[in-house]
Amino acid sequence: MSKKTLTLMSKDKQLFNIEEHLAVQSVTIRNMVKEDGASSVIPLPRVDSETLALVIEYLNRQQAPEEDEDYVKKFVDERGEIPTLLELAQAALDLDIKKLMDAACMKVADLIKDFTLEEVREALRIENDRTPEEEKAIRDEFQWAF
Amino acid sequence: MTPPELSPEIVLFHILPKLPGKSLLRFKCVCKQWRSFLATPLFANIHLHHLTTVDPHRHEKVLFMASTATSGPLAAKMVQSPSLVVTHYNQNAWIVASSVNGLVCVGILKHTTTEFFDMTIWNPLTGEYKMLSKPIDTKCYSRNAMAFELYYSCSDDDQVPNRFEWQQLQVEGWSVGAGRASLAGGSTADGSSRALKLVRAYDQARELNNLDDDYKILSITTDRNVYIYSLRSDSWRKLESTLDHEDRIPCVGDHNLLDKKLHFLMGKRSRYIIIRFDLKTQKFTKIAVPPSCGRENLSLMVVRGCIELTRFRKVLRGTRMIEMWRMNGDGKWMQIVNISYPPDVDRTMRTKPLYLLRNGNLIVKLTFYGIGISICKVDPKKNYTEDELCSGSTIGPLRTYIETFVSPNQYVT
Repeated sequence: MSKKTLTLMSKDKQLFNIEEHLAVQSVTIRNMVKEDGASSVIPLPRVDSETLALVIEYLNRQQAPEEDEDYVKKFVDERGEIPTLLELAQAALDLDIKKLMDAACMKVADLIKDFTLEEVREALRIENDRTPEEEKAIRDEFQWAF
Repeated sequence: MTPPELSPEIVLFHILPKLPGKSLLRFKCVCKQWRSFLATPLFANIHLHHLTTVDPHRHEKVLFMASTATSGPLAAKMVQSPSLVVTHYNQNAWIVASSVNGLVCVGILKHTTTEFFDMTIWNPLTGEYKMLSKPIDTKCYSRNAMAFELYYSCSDDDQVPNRFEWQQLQVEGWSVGAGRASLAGGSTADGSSRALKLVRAYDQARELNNLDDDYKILSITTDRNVYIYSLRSDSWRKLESTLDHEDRIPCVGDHNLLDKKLHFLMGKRSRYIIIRFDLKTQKFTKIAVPPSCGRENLSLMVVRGCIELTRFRKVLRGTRMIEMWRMNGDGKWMQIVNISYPPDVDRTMRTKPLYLLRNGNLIVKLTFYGIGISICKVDPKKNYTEDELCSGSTIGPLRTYIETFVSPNQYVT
């Protein structure tokens, strides 16, 4: 009996095949398979093809359970660019793949911990909604941390 | 690469809690949403949960107070080396009594008295503090009290506040909900409102289910009376339990918390003993120290989840030995350090080893009679070069400490 295969479709309409027993590491996909058999294509409208390729690579890993922690750490280490990691974290959150999401977020936290405020805003695309006066007041309060 | 569509939940719930306290303090300035989120009890607990469950002792630091700086009282001024925090104060006598989950219990002394004038629970990272209501028995505040220990208490056996609720919320509403919404093409606006909902749901769950979650202080007076202070109710009560009369031996003043049990090192001359107080059953038991322990300079600490005993022993011709034991899970003692320390050059000085760092360096306290105290880091591999970390006229006891956002005022309505 051949193994059952699922097809995932990225935001830019690219199709990826993956064996079902590997795909269900994603809790979201597992629930969909349970609910309606998911025989057709599963659309992932928020995940682009590069990120989905990474997720598929991760799901296809052939690691012994005891080496899994190290593997996922190395996996995100090799993709040390913040935008890539954020995409990966977002996709892993949407698909509910906890280990991958935690590892990607841990790596981002590690990379940004010594950033300046401006660098943090740029990396995480956050708008500065404070006036310079407000910012100065907070800075003064916790001056020792700067 | 086009900027990914990033939902606030990734940043707020999965990236921020993984950052060290000091970075978070700076990042309060990033935007208004971060500042208000970082101030919620929910964030404090997710952050604490992360610190204490993922590689639990990696973030453990050593904290003590010194009386040298000119900053205001209870100001969060710290000098940091990778694993050491020194807090300074300008009044003559702020002594760290104990520390848990990033909260520190500090006694305030007036110059010559032997009783603390006031007690406060303080978060050195955020600077927040709360003065305690006065105890029923003034002996609770005696500097010579046998024990004064802050601990976290919850009917759930977990040591971490609200872990259960947090995990439940994660399972029921959060990750699963997020996955479904995104597959249906959900936007980041959903993520934002879900984040808000979660904060509210959390506050309600805390209100409803966890009324017994509390920070408490155990105080044992010189008369062997046992009192417990509750931060939630800001009040003291007396316990039935007392120490046996046969145990009337003076406390040497080192006590530490492990697995919901407090450990005190007590003794005089050659009779040292560890007394264990079980916070659940509220009973005292005794543990023997290693048979080879002598009568000099013994001290006890709970380090990275183990009880450690340190002894500093003078041998012939001024050479000294540092010996350390660690108690394993099975209750057996194992000697972990046995090194000789160079002889005193200056005879007016007394040395006491305090803490063994992960890299094998030691933190030692040097007392120069009539001059002051200096805390140094010593590297046994580099010919015992002493690297001064801080000095002062008085220095409080050392405590292990983690930097958290837990608020001492979280129960104030």
